[in-house]
Amino acid sequence: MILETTTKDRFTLALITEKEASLSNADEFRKEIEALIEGGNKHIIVDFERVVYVDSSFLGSMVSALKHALAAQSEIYIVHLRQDIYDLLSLIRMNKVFKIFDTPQDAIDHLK
Amino acid sequence: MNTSPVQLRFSCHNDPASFNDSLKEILDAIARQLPESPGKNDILKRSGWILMEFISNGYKHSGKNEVSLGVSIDDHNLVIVKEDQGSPLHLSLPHNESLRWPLNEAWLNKEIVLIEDSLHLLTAFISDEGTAVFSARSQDSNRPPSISELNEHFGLIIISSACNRFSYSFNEGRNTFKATIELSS
Repeated sequence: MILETTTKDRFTLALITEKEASLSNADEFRKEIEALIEGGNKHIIVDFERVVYVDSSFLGSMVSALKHALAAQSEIYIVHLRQDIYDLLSLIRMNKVFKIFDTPQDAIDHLK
Repeated sequence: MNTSPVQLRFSCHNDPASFNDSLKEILDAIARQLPESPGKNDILKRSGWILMEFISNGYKHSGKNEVSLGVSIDDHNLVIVKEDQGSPLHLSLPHNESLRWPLNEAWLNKEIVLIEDSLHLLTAFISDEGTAVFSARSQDSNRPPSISELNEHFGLIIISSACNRFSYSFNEGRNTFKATIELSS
């Protein structure tokens, strides 16, 4: 398992437990997010607090998971991105695609 | 002042468990060679993205135990080169076509669209010698991106966007990827 999940109200907090978000766990991440969506979780907050780098394979899985969420009318939010990972997302314009917040509470407040 | 170029060479194990250590080792070596400047951290950040993609691309595609990386630094450019003797590059194109080295002559001297979606346009110009020079551009639109149609392959886009010139060539069984960062940019 790459995700450690907890629930708060109607939100599911999915903490990525590994430091390296890369091709070695990209498929696992996508499948676990898709399972959360299939399980009826409508608001999934993905917490990158422990992640120190992300590669293109993991970014591809993030987009794949987002498409799955969109089809199921679920939402994915991203929190606790390091500045260099945010810069990488900006480089390839994924900051236009993902809903990115500083903290889980910021994501929750945004929806209230 | 012109100084002699610095040449660094690294051999990385093709094992995801060692990727982070390899990346840190190479970035530390580059950091020691780069002169202090306001843009140094940005150059290191961009170098890190390129190196990570080169290392993981080697793992995914080269089929070899080691990936060879070279870094050269002179007054004007930082050049990162990845070489291997694995399978040549094979790119899927829109409309079910594919680009596979060594190339058929029909592809030479053409600009080819590799990826096009609502956010990205990635092209490759193929020289008369079969070298591909990649170019990533943003698709500017005021409309929200069409998520369902987004490309999911970001490796070439990351490298092309992080450097000033990115090329690939295949000669005598050897793949060479070369990314150049202008130090003055």
